[in-house]
Amino acid sequence: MHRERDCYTGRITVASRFTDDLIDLARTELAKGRMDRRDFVRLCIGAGVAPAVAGSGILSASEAAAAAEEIVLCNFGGDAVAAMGEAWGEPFTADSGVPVVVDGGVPLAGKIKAMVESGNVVWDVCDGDGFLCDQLGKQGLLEEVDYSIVDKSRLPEGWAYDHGIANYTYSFVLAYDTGLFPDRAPTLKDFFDTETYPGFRTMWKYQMGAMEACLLGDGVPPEELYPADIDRAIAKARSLGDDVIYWESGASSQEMLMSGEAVMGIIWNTRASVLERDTGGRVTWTWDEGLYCHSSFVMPKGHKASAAATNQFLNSVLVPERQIRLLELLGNGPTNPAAASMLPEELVRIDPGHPDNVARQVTRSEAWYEEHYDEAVERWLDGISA
Amino acid sequence: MNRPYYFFVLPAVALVALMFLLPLGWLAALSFGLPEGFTLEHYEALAGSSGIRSMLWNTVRLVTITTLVSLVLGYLVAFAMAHLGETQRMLLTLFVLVPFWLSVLARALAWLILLRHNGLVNEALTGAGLIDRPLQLVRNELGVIIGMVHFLIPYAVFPLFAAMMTVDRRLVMAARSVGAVPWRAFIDVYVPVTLPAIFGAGVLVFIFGLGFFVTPAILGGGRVVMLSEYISVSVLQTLRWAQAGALSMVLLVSVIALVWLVARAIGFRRLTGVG
Repeated sequence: MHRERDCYTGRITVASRFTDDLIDLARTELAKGRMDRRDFVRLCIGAGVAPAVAGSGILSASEAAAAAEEIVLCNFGGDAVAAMGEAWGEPFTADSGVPVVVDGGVPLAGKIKAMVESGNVVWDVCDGDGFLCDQLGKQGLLEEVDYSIVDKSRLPEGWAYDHGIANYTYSFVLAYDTGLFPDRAPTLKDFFDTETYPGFRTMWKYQMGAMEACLLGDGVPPEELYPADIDRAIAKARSLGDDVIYWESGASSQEMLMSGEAVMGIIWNTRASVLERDTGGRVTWTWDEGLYCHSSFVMPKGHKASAAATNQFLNSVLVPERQIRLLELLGNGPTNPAAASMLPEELVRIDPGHPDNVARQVTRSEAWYEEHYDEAVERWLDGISA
Repeated sequence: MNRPYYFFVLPAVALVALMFLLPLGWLAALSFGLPEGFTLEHYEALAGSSGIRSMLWNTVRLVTITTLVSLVLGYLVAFAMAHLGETQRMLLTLFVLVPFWLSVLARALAWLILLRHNGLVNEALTGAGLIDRPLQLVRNELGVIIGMVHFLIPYAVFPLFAAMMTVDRRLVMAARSVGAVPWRAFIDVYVPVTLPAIFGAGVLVFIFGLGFFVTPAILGGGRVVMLSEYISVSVLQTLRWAQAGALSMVLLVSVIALVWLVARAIGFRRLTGVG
C-alpha cells in the first residue's frame, strides 16, 4: 500500500506512440460495439493509419468475444503501472486473450468503499496491504477468492485470504548515507542518537514502518513488538525534535536521501535499491531491523470482469517467473516460496522476502493492523503534529 | 423584463447543485449518522478528541498568523500600486499576478528547493560566512507560513488595491493642510477609510487559508497537519467518513459564518469588490 499522490493513468497497450494507443483503443471500442465501423475508418484515416492494417484481426468473432472482457488492475501509480503490466498483464493476455489495463488510480480503502457503495465499480483488481483483505472483506466490500481456480499451494500459510491473495512483498528498511557510516550499517539505536550522528532523519508520515522503528529503537524486543504501544512510539518519534522530516510519498523519501538533505531514513526497500543505484552506492540500506510486509490483490464487490477471468488472473500472478520479473522491474518480492530458489544472485540481495533477508527483519502483524490501523494512523498523526 | 436571462444561469446552477450541493448534503447527512438514525455523537467526538482539538487550534493559529502577515505585506504592495505611475503599476501587477497563476504544487516545491537546509538560501548564507549552521526555514511551521503567505498575498492585494483606488485623495490633502505630518495623515485618515477593505481582504485570506492542503503537506515536514489533510486522511485511509463529514461541516459553517459577518459589517458588495 503505497500512497503516491502522483496518480496518472497508464494503459498497457502498444502505446509507444499516441496514434498506436488511439488505434488500439478504437479497435477495442469497435470490438465491443461501442464504436461503429464508419467512425473507426474515419479515425484511422485521421490518424494516418490504413484502416485495413489497423482493422486486421477485429473481424474474427473469437477476438471480439475476448476483447469484450478486460481486467482493470488498479495500483499506486508511478513505475508500478508499466511494471505490473509487463510482469503480470502481458503474459496473462498472451495466455488468455483477456487484456489487462493497469490504472495507477491509487486504490485507497476509501476509494474502494466509495466505488462499491456507488455501484459503479471500475476496478476489477486492486492493490492494497495484506490486512485489507480481512478488514474490507468483513465489511462486505470485496469478492471472495475462488480457490478452485487459484492454487493455494502457491502461497505460504496464511497469505491466501478469503478475500484476496498476497501478490508481492516489500519492506520498510533503514537506508543511510555511507558518508556518515563508512564502515558499518547503522542500527535503529543510532537512528535516534542525534548527538553522535547529527543530520536529518526521515520516516513515513503515515505511521507504518515508522512506529515499528521507534519501538525497536526504544529497545522493545522484536517478539514483543505487537500489540504495539502507540504512545511509546510517538514519544520516541517526538524525541527527535526538529531532526526529523516526515516523508509523504516514496518519491520524496528518495529525493531527501538523494540530495543529502537527510542522512538516514526508514523508507521502502524499492526506493532504497534505486537510491543505491542512482547514488553509485553513496546511499545504501540494511535489512537488519527492517519491517517485512506483504501486499495483496483484492476484488471490489460487484466488479465488471467475470469471476472466472479475474480469479485466473490472480492465479497467474503467483507464477514464480512473473513474480521474479516484478522484482527485477520494481523491487517488490515474490510471494510464492518457490521463487526463492530460482533467484539469480543479484536479485537475492534486493528481495525483501528471500529467507536470508526475512531472517534479519521483523514481520508486520496483519492481525494487529487489521484491528488497529485506523486508530494507529490517527493517533500517530495527532502525536507527531501536536 | 429580465426573465429570459435567468435561463442562461440555469445550466451552471444545475451543475453546481448536482455536482456539489448534492454530495455536500450527503456528507452532512452522514455526519449526523443518517440514514440509520439521527445522532450528534460524531460532533461530540470532535469536541472530545484532544488530537482533533489541537489540530483545529493549530489550523486556526497558523491561518491567523498567515492572514496578518499577508495583510501587512499586501497592504504595502497595494499602497505602492495605487500610488505609482501607470507603467510601474502595470509592472507591479504583473509581479503579483504571475506567481498567482502558478500551480500551488510547483510553488511549494520551489520554496522547498530554496529554503531547505542544503538549499540555495542556506548555501548562500553559509558560503558568505554569515551563519555557521543552516537556518531551519522550511519543513516546519515557518515554512508553512512562508508558503501560505506567498500564495495568499494576491488575495489581499487586489481588494485592498481596488479600495485604495476609490479613496478620495483630497481627504489626505485636507489632513495635511490642517497640519498633520504624512504618517499622521496616513494613520488617522487613510487607514480608517480603507479599514472595511482590510477587514474584507483579511476574511478572504483567512477563508482560503483554512482550506490549505498541499502547502502544509509539503513545507511542514510532516509535522504540520491542518484541517483539509485531516479530512482527506479520514476519508481515504481510516474510513471514518462520519468524522470527515462532521469536520467538513465545521469548516463549512465557519466559512459561511465569516462571510455572513463580513456581509453584515461592510456589505456584500464591498466584500466582493463589486461597485
